[in-house]
Amino acid sequence: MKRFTATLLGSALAGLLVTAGATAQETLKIGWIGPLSGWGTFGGTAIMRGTALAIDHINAEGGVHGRMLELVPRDSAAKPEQAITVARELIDRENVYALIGKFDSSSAKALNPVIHEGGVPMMLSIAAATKNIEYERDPNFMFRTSGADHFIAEFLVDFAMKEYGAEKIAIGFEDTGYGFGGRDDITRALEAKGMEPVAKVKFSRPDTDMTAQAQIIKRSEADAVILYSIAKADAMMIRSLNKVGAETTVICAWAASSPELPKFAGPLGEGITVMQTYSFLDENLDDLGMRMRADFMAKHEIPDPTKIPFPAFTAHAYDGMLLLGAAMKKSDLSLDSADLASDRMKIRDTLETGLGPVQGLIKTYDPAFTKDNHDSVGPADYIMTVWNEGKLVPYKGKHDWGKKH
Amino acid sequence: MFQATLSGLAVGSLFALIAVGFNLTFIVNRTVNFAHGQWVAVGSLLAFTLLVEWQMPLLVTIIGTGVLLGILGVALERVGIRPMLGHSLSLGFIMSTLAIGIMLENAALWWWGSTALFVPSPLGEERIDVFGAGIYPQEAVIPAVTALMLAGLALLYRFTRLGRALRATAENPEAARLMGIDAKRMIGFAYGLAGLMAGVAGVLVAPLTGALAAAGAGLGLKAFAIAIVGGLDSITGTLIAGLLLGVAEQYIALYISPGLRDVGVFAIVIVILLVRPFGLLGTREDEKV
Repeated sequence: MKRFTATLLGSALAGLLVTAGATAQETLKIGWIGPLSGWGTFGGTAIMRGTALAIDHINAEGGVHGRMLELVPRDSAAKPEQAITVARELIDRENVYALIGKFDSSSAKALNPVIHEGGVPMMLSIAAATKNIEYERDPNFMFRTSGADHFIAEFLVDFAMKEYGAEKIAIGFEDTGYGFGGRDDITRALEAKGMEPVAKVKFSRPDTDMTAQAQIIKRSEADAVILYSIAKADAMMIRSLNKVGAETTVICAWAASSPELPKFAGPLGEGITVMQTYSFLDENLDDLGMRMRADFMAKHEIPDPTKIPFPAFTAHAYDGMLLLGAAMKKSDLSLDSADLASDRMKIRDTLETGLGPVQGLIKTYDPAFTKDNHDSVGPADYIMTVWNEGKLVPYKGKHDWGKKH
Repeated sequence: MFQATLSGLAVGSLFALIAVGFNLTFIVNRTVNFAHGQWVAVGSLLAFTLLVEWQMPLLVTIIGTGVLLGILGVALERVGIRPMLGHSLSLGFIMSTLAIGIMLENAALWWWGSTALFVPSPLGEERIDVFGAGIYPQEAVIPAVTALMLAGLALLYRFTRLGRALRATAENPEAARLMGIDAKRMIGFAYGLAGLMAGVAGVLVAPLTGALAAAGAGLGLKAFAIAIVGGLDSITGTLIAGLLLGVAEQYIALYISPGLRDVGVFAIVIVILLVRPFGLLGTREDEKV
């Protein structure tokens, strides 16, 4: 962690130097908001790195309207109040053209009033809670390349039923906005199939013991349990289920893609399936995926693609930035600071009306968004992966779940 | 039922071990370290450094962590407690221990970071079957360590000169001083002992939940409730309260709802305190002459 902090400080310093140099060439600023400290550090870092690499690639191809893009990152520490403060700073003082980032849904939701007040389009890379996009707003400035919980829930229920023939499904969730949202979405997804959860158990991230929750799941005779929490809490639950002798199949939402899962669950993490949208280990990785993977590994000195942390989070951030860049290119921007508000609105309009085709990692976006759909990644883009010897690899199963359907 | 009881006893004895830290200091001078939970969290982080980063043997980790926190405990008494006790109603120590706890937690966050650090159990991860119920070796060893530590304390108090001096200081510091006992030193020693217990508890808890800088407040609050319920001046009472609330917590979560676990446990705490304001085995202050 000390080394990590030092690297982060070094990167920030380098960023400042780049900022100083780049400002002279009148770069176009993109504000990034997400956790670089606190519990979301690892996820936030993955999202920032994905965004930064997309900017590298856009700039390598000439930038936008002949100008280079510049990422201005701000740490929100996964706290809504801090996210609001840094968003205001980016909008009012840094004069960014657009915002991107996030990790925790509570901060993402809290940003809605701020970005709409400021009239700045924002691309949510990761923030799955269904209500993060407030469709009652018109014009709506919030867009998302993240998975969305209501789709994820449907996908996970579908997976449990088709892959394992599960008829009794339980839900384990953490007591946060993320967990409660997941519980409600899975309950709705089950109801749509004429079922209801056989057990709903709540736990807290710092719990010293989850035996009772595991016993409730065992008592419910659930065929499968869907876990909706951060990876460490998922791992604690998996250990508790093993302790009480429950033979329930465990399926995890995508936060379990963190390397903390195999670390804290130990051998019990082996074979745990996790919903994802992208894998750098796909045998049929396309040219863009190969290029991104190679550049990403070189930039961050990662020796082995299995060691890329949070691959899907990185990919979502990369695609979100590509879409923002494409929208900026397609928009007739004046690039005059006096017209910033109008340029921001133009970018928003382009995002919403017929942007595409844009080739990204997860898919080719065509159209990326519509007025009624600000979610560009849907259930058809989801895949299942599995923890195998400490690596998260595409899961084949009975229906080749590692491939998009 | 048996599974819940087994797990409840393991968790309960862990919290009792933490809670005894409150007893040790309260007995000698009616003060407690309100940041005792942060001490435990730092103990678990030290366990990570010694056991995982430096690959030290378990015994060295336990002794090293215990001694370090013991020294920290003595230092806390010197700078955070003693200067605050101007008169019998002085409450400055509450603020000073809380403040030092916050400083300690922030220093720990800076040094170890804010994510949970994985500490493998030196005893392995193989589930042990006990009449159909399951328990991990790390959980199974907690009641044994708690029993050992408390037995050690009982022996110290009953059969050693140091123990007698501690008891004398607790009974009447003024009289103890007249008998040639350095009461201030005894109080410092009690704080050192409480620090040592926090260190051992930290080593025990680390493989269960991971070592986490921010975990202190949660651990401390629950342990404090246990010490209050048991009686702040009764180590036996604290042990009974720890086991009782540990098992009650499991039953409430299992038979009522995991969501109502804390509501139920703290409701029990309040009811016990209504019936016995000085705790299960606590002594009424005015009866001590």
